[in-house]
Amino acid sequence: MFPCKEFQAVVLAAGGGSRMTELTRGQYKCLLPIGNLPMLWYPLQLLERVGFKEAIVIIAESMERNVSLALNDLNLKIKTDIVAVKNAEDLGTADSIRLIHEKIYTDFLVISCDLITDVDICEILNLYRKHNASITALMLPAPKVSDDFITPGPKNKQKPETDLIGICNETGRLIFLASASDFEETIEISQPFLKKYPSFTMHSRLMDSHLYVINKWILNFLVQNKNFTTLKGELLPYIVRKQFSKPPKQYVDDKNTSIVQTNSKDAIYRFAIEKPLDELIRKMSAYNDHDTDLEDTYHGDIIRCYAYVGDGKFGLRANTIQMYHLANTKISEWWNNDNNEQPSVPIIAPTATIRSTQIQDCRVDNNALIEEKTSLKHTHIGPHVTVESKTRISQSVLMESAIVKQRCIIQNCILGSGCIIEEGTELKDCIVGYKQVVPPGSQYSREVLTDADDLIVI
Amino acid sequence: MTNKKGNISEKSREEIKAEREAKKAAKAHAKAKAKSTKIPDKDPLNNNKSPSSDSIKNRTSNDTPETVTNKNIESSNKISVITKTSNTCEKDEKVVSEVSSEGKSKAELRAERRAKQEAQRAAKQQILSEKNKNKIKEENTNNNNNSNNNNKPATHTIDIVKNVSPKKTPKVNIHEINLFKHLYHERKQAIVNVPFVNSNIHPAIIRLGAQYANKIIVGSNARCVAFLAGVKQLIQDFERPPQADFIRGFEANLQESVAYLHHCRPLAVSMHNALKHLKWQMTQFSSSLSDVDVKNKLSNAIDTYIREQIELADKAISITIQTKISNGDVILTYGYSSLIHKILLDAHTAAKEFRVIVVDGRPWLEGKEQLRRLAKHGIECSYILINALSYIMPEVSKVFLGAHAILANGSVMSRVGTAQVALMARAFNIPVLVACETHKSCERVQTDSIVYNELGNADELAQDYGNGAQKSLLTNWRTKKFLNLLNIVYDVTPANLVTAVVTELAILPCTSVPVILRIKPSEI
Amino acid sequence: MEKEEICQYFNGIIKNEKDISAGMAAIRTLLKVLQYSKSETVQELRYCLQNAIDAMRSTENPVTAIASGSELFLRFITLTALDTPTFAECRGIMLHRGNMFYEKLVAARGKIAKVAAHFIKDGSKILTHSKSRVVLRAMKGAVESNKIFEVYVTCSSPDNSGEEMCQNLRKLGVSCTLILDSAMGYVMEQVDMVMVGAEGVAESGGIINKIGTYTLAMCAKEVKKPFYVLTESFKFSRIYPLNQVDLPNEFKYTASTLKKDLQKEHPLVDYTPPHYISLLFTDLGILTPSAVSDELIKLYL
Repeated sequence: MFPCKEFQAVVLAAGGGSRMTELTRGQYKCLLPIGNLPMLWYPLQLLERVGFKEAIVIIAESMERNVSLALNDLNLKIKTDIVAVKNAEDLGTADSIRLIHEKIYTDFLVISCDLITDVDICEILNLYRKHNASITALMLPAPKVSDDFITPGPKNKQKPETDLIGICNETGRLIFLASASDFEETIEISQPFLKKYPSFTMHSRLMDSHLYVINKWILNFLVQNKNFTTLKGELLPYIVRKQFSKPPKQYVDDKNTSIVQTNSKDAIYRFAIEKPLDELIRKMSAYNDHDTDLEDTYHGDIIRCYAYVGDGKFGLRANTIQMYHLANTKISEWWNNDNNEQPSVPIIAPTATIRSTQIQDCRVDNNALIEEKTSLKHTHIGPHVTVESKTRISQSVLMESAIVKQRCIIQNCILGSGCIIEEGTELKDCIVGYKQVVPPGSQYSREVLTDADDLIVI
Repeated sequence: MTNKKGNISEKSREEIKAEREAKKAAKAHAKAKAKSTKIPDKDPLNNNKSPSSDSIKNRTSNDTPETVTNKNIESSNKISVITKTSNTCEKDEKVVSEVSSEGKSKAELRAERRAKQEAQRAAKQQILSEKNKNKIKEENTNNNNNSNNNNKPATHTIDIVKNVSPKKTPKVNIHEINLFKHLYHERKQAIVNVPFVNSNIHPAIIRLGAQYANKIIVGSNARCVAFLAGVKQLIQDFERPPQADFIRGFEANLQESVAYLHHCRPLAVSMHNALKHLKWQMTQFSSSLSDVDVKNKLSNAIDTYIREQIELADKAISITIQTKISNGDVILTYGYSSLIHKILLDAHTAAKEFRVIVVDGRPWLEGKEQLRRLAKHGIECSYILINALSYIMPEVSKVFLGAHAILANGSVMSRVGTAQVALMARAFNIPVLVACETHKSCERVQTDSIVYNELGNADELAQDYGNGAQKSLLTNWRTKKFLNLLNIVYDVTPANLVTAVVTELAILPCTSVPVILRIKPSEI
Repeated sequence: MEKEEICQYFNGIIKNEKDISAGMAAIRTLLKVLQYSKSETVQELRYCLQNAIDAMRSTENPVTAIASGSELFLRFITLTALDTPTFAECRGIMLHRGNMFYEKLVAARGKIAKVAAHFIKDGSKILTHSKSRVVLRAMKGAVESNKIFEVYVTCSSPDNSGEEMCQNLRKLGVSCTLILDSAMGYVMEQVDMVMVGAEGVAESGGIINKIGTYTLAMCAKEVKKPFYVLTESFKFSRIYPLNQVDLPNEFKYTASTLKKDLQKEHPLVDYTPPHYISLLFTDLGILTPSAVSDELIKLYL
């Protein structure tokens, strides 16, 4: 009966995985397997669980066929509307949202395809509804990487990026959002800011999980302002900063002033308008979100950003190799802890042939063949993989159609799709690239084995 | 048990090791068997199983002393595990049952099936299920554990299992007070099952429900205005289903929305009256009007209602009551009322000299908001909690109270604590004025606060108000069987405690308010 | 008519016709004003009448009854269709209604007396306060029914109007005792009921009467004696006092006293809250205090 829904879901899957180029050579980032399911399955599952019946998935044009096939295989109940964008490498997240703005007619939820979490979205939506927020973001505790966890591939000198997230203690509002790399040694906080929010916590161990519930007017604002390219990097900090500004005294659409003269600082208030009775209701209601000063509820702010901290829930963004590998390692532990219903995908696919007798804590996908006298521990085995006898594989990920010949020892590696590991190789903490053939009898440790020329993103 | 213990002492280390190896082999076989259940080479596997199952049986005796303590705790867990696996592999069960024959007991067969099913589970559960499997086999073979009996029917249906676990735990006290059982029951009746996202209900109403339930919108007037704003949105977006009358279709939709809101928080009297008014308006429309016209008319009706019944009425009441505020007065008010707030503000703007005492009551502590707003405007205020009322009352010259509703017998229904304030004022012979618009009148007659009320969240009483770092002593009140907490939201002040009611039509004694409604142009 | 004329006329009636209360006199004055007015429009007429009312209020007489009576008078005469072509006709209609109103009021006293007389039983002892024409009339009615009863009358300082009441009663043949104001508590246990008149009836159902009525009512309630008020319906007014202080000053003091320092002046009337009053006898019937508001609403809304 109602044409308009309350929320629409948008999944951003067009990314090329710029921080995991070794892996994205053979497979698009959103289809990389975690626990034998493509990465894209996890956010879609999350949406399906809370009750979304359809979602818009933004992908790069080149991925279209593969993604459609993969989604068909997954048998998800949620309907996906796949939107392919050209030149995905040049577009940022905000740009792609701007491209599909005509499809969006109400408040919407943006999830990045690399978000693996089990948080209950209902809580975030409720927080958004309660306060008529402009944006509500999900913050998850940054996943703890134990010291003995070794990422396959060469030692990474890259420090993981930390976000600085300031959340007001009393009201839960998000008042500061920046990346640690934006600052050299000091962070400046103005005195009016402290007066307004006398008690807030600056978190450095929280991660911005790139799950945002965004109000429609922000989309309108985004469409008008083409200088925002990314959500997390540019749009969100801008909106968070704008909470602090005061709306101009009387923002009436004065027809006498020409468009050129409008002050760009106040331009946002052209979009952030409240419904006429909202102010009256706020005045009459006995609610105040803070009691530290004499100000009205919400300090009279029209733009309000909230952050929901998912305490005690696991979550990570699998956008670096380290995180991706961590996800694979922990996925069985995490995903079944909370799952009350049946896992829709059996741990060991019925079409797989397993002749081995020592399989421990593994997931085996369709049509895999595992010969006898093999020992597999904590490994994810993709479809059509062949593992010949007398091999020992532990803590690894074998992607589609990988072939491991006899007498190999593979530990803590990621084997890309179509690769062939010849007999007698020993691989420790390595990444083997797409369709790479590792010559027999070789021994590698902490290396990336690909053709050097091929380290470009597809 | 004692037999098993004897067994332990008899076996040697080598024998135990051998048994362990055999068990491992059996496990691997079981897994392989599970994968190839359809392949008809089961018999040899089955045969392999029987000796291994015997050894397993003996092995379980070794495990018994370790696992006996965990048994009870994990038993319910295990039962649910069993049912899950039984559901996933029911097909397998049927197939296997044909194959296996011989003199094996039913229990052992079932045990084997279960072993196969559990082998398909995640690695971690396999480790758990090992222990579970051992327990099951042991129980089934022993037949002296009553959970065994429950197991057998449990594997067939989930429902029985769910009943089993609560049967085992002692009866939990649900902490409902007998005197108010009808209110708990009413709440259960009002439950509406609505999908969390993108349901049939309009988003504005869903948002409103969330805001009501979380006490973001509190107060009779605020809730009424918010409700009407939501309904306005509903009207704008409503699309007439084909071959149906606009009014009928809209009414049905409105009914659903109202039921949802009632589920979030019981409707206020002002909301009920607004709804009645709206419905009456709808019946006045002729059926020949176009949809757009009807929508406009309804929107206008809503705007008029808000403007006349709430905004203008508030203004009129404020003007009338100004004459009752003289210089040097000490005015006492309880909790937060938007109308009382407006009255005091207007009096202050008119340069009258008076001071205000705000009385507040837990757990809502709405008086703090009243205090903040008055203090912000520069009115001299004091703040007390309700237990200090008798101390402060001799200083007071008048008491102003807000109301949630006025009942047909002249009683005033308002936030809990109001009746207390009125009673205290009467004891000290201080006049009590209740300011209430006529749209809040209700046809109910209530002589006490029990027969109809709203139940709040009992856990709010257990919280220490403020940001106390200490935990309240009452945090675990639910564990104490005979302790109940009751959080009642409204109470009824009898008419004889109220000196006058100020409405937009006149200042009246409490008993005459229904008369006003009789002579006002009736809408029903 | 000029202000002085009005006042003169008004004072004349009060002085010469003892039997007419201030309120009735006011209404008669207004009728006169209406008759002799030379205004050409309804608005001007209304203005004229309002002036007259203000003039009367500025005389030395207690204002309560004047205020309520005039208000009701004005409402009554204009509560009709006044869309006749000429103004003269309008005036005629208003005059006619005014006279009707007056006649009804004159008859009011009789009606009240009749119902109240029933309540005066043979052999009963009644306590009354100060001088009230309606109570006198009621007792007259009781005497005519050959009832024998005793009356105690309070002196009611400062003007000792109780003495006059006592004389009038003795003329009727009722055995009457004059008591001090301070003795009302002493006497209370011996009487069967208390009957007083009223200068005004508030919307709450409480009454405004000569100072001392409130004390009398409190004593009566404490000793559990019924407290009856006899009053005509034109004395119903829309004020709603919450307590003694809340009573408007122009009711409590005469016009001349208002100019002085009120802290040192003694009020003439006090307010008796409704829960002390058992019943009100009016020409509209016998009412409980809470019904007064209902009647008022009917009259005014």
